[in-house]
Amino acid sequence: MTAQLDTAVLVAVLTAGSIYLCLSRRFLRMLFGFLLLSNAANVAVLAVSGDPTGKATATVSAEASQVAAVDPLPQALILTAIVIGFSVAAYLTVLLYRIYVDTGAATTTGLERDDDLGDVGEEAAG
Amino acid sequence: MVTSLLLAVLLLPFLSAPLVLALGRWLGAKVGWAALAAPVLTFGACVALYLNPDAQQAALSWTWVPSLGVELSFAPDGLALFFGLLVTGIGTLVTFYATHYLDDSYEKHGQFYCILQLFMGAMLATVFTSNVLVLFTAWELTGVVSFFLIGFLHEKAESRRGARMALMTTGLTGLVLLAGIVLLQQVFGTADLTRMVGASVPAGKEGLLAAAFLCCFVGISGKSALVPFHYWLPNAMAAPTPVSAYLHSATMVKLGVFLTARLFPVFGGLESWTPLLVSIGFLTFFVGALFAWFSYDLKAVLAYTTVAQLGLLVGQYGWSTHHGVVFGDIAHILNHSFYKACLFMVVGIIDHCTGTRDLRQLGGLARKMPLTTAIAFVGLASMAGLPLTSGFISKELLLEGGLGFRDGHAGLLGLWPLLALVAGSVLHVLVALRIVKRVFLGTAPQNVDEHFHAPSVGIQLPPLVLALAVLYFGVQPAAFGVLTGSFSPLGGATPELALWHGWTPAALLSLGVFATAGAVFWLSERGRWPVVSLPRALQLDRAFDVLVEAVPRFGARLDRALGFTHPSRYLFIIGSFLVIAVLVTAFQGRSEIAALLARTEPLPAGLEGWTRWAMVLVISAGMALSIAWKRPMPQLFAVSLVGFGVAYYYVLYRAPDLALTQLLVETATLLLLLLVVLRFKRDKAELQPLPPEKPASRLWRIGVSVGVGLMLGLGVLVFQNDSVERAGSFYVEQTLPLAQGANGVNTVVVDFRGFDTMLEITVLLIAALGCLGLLSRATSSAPPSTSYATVDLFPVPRNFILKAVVLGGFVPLNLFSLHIFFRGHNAPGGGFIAGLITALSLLLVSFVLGVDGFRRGLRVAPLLLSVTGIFLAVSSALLPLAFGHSLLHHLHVTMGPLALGTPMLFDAGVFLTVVGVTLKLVLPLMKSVHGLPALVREEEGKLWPAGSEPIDFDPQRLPVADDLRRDA
Repeated sequence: MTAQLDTAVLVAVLTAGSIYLCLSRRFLRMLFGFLLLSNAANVAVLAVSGDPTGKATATVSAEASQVAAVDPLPQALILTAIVIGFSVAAYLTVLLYRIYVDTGAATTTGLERDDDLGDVGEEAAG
Repeated sequence: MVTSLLLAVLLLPFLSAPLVLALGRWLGAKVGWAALAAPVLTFGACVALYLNPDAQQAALSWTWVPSLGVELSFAPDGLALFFGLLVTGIGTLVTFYATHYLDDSYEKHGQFYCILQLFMGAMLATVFTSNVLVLFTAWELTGVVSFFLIGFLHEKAESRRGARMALMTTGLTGLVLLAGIVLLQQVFGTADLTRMVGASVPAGKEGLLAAAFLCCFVGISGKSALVPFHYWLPNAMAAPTPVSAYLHSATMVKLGVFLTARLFPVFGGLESWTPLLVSIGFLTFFVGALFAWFSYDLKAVLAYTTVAQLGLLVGQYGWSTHHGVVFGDIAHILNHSFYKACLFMVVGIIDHCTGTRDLRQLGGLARKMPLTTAIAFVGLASMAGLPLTSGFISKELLLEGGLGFRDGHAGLLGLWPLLALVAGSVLHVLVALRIVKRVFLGTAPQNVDEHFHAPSVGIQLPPLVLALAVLYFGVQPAAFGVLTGSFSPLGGATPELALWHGWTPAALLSLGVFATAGAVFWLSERGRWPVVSLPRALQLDRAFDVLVEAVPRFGARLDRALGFTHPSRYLFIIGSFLVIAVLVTAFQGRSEIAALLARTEPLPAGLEGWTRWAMVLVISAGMALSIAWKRPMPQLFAVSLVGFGVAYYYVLYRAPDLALTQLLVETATLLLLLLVVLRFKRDKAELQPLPPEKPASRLWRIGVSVGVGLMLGLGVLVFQNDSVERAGSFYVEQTLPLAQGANGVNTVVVDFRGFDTMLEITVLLIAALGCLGLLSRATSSAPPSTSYATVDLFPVPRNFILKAVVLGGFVPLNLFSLHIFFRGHNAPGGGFIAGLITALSLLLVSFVLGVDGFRRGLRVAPLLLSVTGIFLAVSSALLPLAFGHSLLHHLHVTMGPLALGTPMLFDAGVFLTVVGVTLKLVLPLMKSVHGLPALVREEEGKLWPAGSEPIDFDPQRLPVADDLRRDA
C-alpha cells in the first residue's frame, strides 16, 4: 500500500508548529497559530480521501472515463470547513482586537494585570 | 372551505409580521393601523369556522418527522375555536389600543407589532394543533416571543430582569413539560391527541401516566404562574401595558389552563388529578389575592389578581371527574379575560394620563375621566363578583361547584376549595373597593392635577367594548350559558344560568362575602394606610435572582480556585492529555502499527510524488519561518506562504475547488489580519514587553506541540485504508444522472448535502453578527480624547494608476466571478468561490474609494445581502415541499441542453451570504479612529441607543512601564 507519507509529515509539521504558536503569549502569534491549525486539520481530512496519484478530479464527463475519480466527499467537507474556519478566525481576530482596545494589552500576561476583567460580563448582563 | 379557513387562521399572523416590520420603518407610529389587518381577518376566519357546523370534523395534517411521530396536524375543535376566538378578538382590541397608547416616545413601532403578531401566530398554533410535540414547540415559541415583548423597552433594567425571569421560569418548567409529553407518548405509543383521548391506558403503564401528569403539571404551573412559580408574573409587568393586557391577562398565561383542559380527557381518571389541582390551584387563588391586597402599584395588583384567578381556573378542573368536565370552565375563562384585559387597559390609560400607577398617589379621577371611571367600575365589579356582571355569574357557578365538591369529598380536601374561594373572594372585593376609593373617588392630589391630560376617545374604545360585553353577559346569563356551552363537545347538559335562583347556599355565601368585605374595608380605612408589605421570605423572585446569579458566580469561583490565569494553560493540559492517551494506545497496538509501517513505501512514486514532497518542504519552511520570525509583518508573509502552499497542495490532490477556495479565503483572512496588524503596529502594541520565558516552559511547549503533531501525523498514516468501500463512489456515479451536474464536489456541497451548507452559511452570518456586536458595544473606558489626531488607517490614495486599475478591473473581475458561479455545477467553481471573488473585488474598490465613498456607492447594507442570501437558500430548500417532495430535494427544469434547478438558487443564496459577510467582517476595521463610530452608527442606525459609544482605541490606556509612569 502506498502510504501518503508526505501528507502525514505535512500534517505533523503543520500541527506541531501551529500548536506551538497557539501556546504563545502574544495575541498575534496565537492568531497565526489558530489559522495554521485549521489548515492542518483540513489537510488531515484530505488525507482520508486516499492517494491521488493516477486518479482524476471528481468532475465526471458524460462519456465513461477509464481513470478512477478521486473521492469527492472529504473535499466537500473540507470546503465547508475552510469557509467556517474563515468566519471563526475572523471572529477571533475581532475578539482579540476588542480585548486589546478594552484593556490595552496585546499579551496574555498583560491581561492578568487587569483583575476587574470579570466585571465586564456582569455589566453586560445587568 | 374549512381547511382554507384554518390555514388562513394559522398562517396570516406569520405572513403579516414581516410586512408590518417593513412597513414600520416607513409609516412610523401609524403602522398600528396596518397591523390591525391580520388580527381582524384572523378573527373573522375564526368566527366563520365557529359558525360552520362541519368545522369540528375537519383537520389538516402534514407529516414532518414520521420516525418520531411528529405531524403538523391541526384540528378546529371546540376548545381550540374558543381560544382562537379569544386570542384573535382580544388581539384586535389590543392592537387598536396600542395604536393610541404607543406614542412617539417609542421608537420601534414596526418591531412591536411584528412581535405581537408573531406571538398571536404562535398562540394560534398552540391551541389548534392536535399533536403534543407540535404543541410543545409552539408553547416554547410563545415563551420566546413573549421574552421579546416583555423586554421590549430593553434599556430599562427591570424590563430585562422581568423578561429574563419569565423566560427562564417558563422555559425550565417547559423542559419538565417536555419530559411529561415524551412520557405520554411512551404510554400511548402515539403523539396524536385525538388518538390518545379515546384510547385506554395499556396495562402496567399507569405509573408512567401518573409521572407524565406530574411533569405536565409542573409545566402548566410554570406557564400559568401557580404557586411556587407565581413570582414571574408581577415582574413581567415591566412590559408595555398593551403587552400586559394581551399576554398576562388574556392569552399567554391562559395556556396552562388550556393545556389542563386539553389533557383532561387523558389524565382525568388519575388519582392524583383532583388533590394536586385543587390544593395548588386554590392555594394560588388565596395567595395571589393576599399579595394583591399588599401591593400598591396598580399593575402589580392586577398581576396578583391574575395569578389568583389562574389558580382558580386550574383548580376548578380538579372538581371534574373522569365522567365529564364540570360545566362552566369556558365561562370562567371568558369572564376573566374580558374584565382583566379591560382593567389592564384602564390602568394603561391612567398611567398615560397621569404619569403614575401608584395607588397612594392617585385620586379623584372620577371627575376627570368619567367614561374611563365607568368602564373601570364595571371591570372592578366583575372582579368582585357583583350582580349584573358576568363575574357574578362566574362566581355563583364557582361557589356552587365548591359546595358540590365539599358534599362529595369529606375532610380537608373537600373543605379547602370552599375556604380558599370564600377568603379569596373577600380579598378580591377588598382590592376592588380599595381601587375605587383610592383612585377614583376623593380629590385629586396636586401632582395628578398638574400633569393630567384627558384620554382620547380612541384609547377608551377597546376597554369600553370589553366592559359592555361584561355587562351584557351579566344581564343575559342565558345567552352566556348558550355561548359557552357551544364550545364544549363533551360536557353534560348546559345548566340553566339565571340571575336569581332563589336563596341557595351559593347566594347566601355571596352575600356573606360582600358583607365581610365591606366590614373589613370600613375598618381598614379608618386607620392609616396599612404599612404591611410582602414579607421578604415570601418574595420568591429574589430567590430566583439569587439562584440565577449563583451559577456564573460558582463558575467564577471555580475558575479562581483552579488557579489558571493564562488561557494557554488549558491548551497545555488538553495537549498533554491527548499525547499521553495516544502514546498509551499506540504502545498497546505497536505490533499492528509496526506491520502497517513496514508496508508503506517511503520513496514517492513518480514525478507527482516528488512534487508533493517538494510542496511539503516549502510549507514546512513557511511554518518554521513563521515561528522563527518575531515581527508581525514578516510573520504574515510566512503564514501566507503556508496558506498558498497548502492551496497548491490541494491542486496536487486533485481538488481544484478546494484550491480556489483556499486561495480566496487565504486572501481575505490575510487582509483582515493585515488590518489588525497595522493597528497594532501603529500603537506599537507588538513591542509590549513580556517577561522572559522559563526554559522549562519552553521545553514543555515544544514537547506538547511536537507530541500532538506526531500524534496527528501518525493518525493520518494509521487510518488510511484503501480497501474499504467508499461513500464517495456513490456521489461520483450519481452526480450526473441525479444532480445534473458534472462537478462531483459542488453537487455534494449544494445538492446532496445541501443541509450542511445551509447551516454553514448561517454560521457565517452568526460570526458576522458576533463581530458586529464586538465592534459596537459600549466600552467601559472613557471616550477617546479629542486631541488625538484623525489618522486614516488607509488614506484614500491619490494615485491615478491604482484607481484606474482597480476600477477598470472591477467589471472583468465580476464577470469572471459570474462565470465561475454558473459553471460551478459542471466544472470547478460554485457559489462560495464566486462570492469570495466578488467580495474581494468590492474590498479593492473600497480600498481605492475610501470606506465612506464605497458605502455610499454600495447603497445596500452588507448584512441585508447576507440575510437575503440565507432567505434564498432556505426558500430553495423549502420549495420542493410545495411539490410534494422532501426538504432540499432538487427540482430541475430542462430547457434544451440546459437544466436549471433549485441548486442554482441555493448557490445564489450562498453567493450573496458570502459577499455580505466578508464585507461586514472587513469593512469596519478599515476605518480610522474617529470614523469608526460614524460608520457603525450609520449602518446600524437606530439599533443602538444613543448613549452607547462604539468602541475604539483609547491611547491613554497603553500599558506603560511603572517607572515611566512615576516620572510622568
